[in-house]
Amino acid sequence: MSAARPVVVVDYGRGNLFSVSQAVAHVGGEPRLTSEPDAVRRAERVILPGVGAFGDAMAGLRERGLEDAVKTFAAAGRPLLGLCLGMQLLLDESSEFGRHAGLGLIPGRVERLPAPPRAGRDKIPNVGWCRLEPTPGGAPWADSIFAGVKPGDFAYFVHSYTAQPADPRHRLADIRFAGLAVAAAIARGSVAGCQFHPEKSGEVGLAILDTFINRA
Amino acid sequence: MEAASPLEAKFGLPREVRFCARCVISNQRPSSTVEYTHTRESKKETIHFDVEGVCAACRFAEMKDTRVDWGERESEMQDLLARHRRTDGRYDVLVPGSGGKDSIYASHLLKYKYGMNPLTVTWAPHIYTDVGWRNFQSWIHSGFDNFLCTPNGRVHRTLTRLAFENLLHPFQPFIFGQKSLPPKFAAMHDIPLVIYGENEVEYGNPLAEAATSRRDPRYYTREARQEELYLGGVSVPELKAHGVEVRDLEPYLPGDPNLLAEKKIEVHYLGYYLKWVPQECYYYAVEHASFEANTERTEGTYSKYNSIDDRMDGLHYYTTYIKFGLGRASYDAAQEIRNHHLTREEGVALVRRFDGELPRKHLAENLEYMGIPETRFWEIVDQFRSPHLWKREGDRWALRHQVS
Repeated sequence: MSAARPVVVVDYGRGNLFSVSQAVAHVGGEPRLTSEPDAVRRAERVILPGVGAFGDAMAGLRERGLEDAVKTFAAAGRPLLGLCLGMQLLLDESSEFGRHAGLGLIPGRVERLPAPPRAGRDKIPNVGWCRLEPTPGGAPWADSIFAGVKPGDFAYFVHSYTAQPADPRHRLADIRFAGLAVAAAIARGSVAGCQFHPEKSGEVGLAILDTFINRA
Repeated sequence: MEAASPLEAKFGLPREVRFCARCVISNQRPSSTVEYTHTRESKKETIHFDVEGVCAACRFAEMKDTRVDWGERESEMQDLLARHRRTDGRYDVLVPGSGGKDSIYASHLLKYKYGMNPLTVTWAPHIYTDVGWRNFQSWIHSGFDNFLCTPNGRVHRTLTRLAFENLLHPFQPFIFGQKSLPPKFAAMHDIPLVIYGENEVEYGNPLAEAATSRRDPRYYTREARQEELYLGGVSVPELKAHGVEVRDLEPYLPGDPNLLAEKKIEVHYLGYYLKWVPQECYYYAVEHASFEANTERTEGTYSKYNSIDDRMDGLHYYTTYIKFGLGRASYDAAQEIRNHHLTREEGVALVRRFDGELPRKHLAENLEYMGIPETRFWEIVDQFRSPHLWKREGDRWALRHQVS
């Protein structure tokens, strides 16, 4: 077996990184939690996790000098994976609690989930397991972090806002919510993001992390 | 026009309902009480909320994460164990437990990591579930001696019925034995050290109790005269009218403080010495004692491995939902948020989805156990709905305040 690949997990003081670290280690990676901008710039691979509110998360990154570090890292074409709120941060801006600028690595915006019909099953926040389907006209799965995922596989979601990439080719996978297709995963070049939590999505989530860490 | 008079709050609960800023518990959650003085008229002490709107259990969790020196605590425990360890083959620590995840964790660590010689003691549930009985057996077969104390079924049913009718607290007879029996057993077998698993502070008892590893003896001893002791809300002399004599009450009554002092009985919590994380106890129990979770979700919540050995567990949590507006999912989610397994957003969604679900699976059996017909059951339940928590909407009851 080859040596474990180091994966830098960005720690900007928002949220619990235990599950992410455990999942990375489970698929043979070596998780390195850091809040040091230099460690992010020098990394081979970076995971940007996140829970909570968009503006607050951006402030957390900025306070630590991590906003520029993540942008510099991504500009070098090395693999970056945003998880949940970390995925939303990849876009240009969000309307969550006012207007907030994001990292601008994938063109597009973050908006509130569409209002579900009163009688329906869907509720905001969307909490639970949803089926992943390829986005029609979106990025193909074969060479992506979804290489090990089958259409219809389930993943675990917790979110009230949703990413809307400007270019449909930057969408990788969708779920159905309130009768509409909502972005489940996005990708542009070496930058990718999952709205769901791969670290809490069982075998499917582990397969995604495995691809990201060991094959990409 | 009717004046907006404040709504009545039963049981001494705070009139204004507030939810913790970090977890999903409300300020209606009562602290553990000394059950021997619990009557219909008792006023509850409730969980403390600080100026930032954070509950005492979340503050305790924060303290465990940031301020407790766990290395120091472990060496305190090593000193305690060294003082009690016996090398002549006799038992040197008594571990009360059910064979659930917490007692497996406590007993297994004490025996196989710290080299103690535990005797485990079990106070039987009202009615064993199949999975509970299998887990109890697996625990013993993972390497422990055990005394199982099963109370007189006739007496236990009567006390459970009285506790339900008078206090809406059908779990109370279990709590008597759970707290009082192990120290008495320890005195009987000359084992001065008793170690329970987690501390009630984990769930919101006053933080002052966290400063010590010892259980407050008022929970399990009492010098009081019989007329000052209440079981099911009925004093011991009055129980006679219900067919329960003093001689029937041995396993329920508190220990004699003089005897327990003379035998130098000390009751400790392992949770004071070792960082207590229920989910970690679960994994430990699966690995070391083949503990089984349930195959399906427990009614009233989303979990599968907490309190699954008694067919009365579901009804117990349903009564807390009626009395305090806090059901089983609230307790589970609050704990998991504090241990960073859930975010508050997830917890809120789980509470709104599962809290207060009627535990139908064993309800008929529970009613038969207590000898209460279903119509009477609902009459009693409705007597315990506090007007400040519940309102009538058409033909159903709705909570006035829900976590959000």
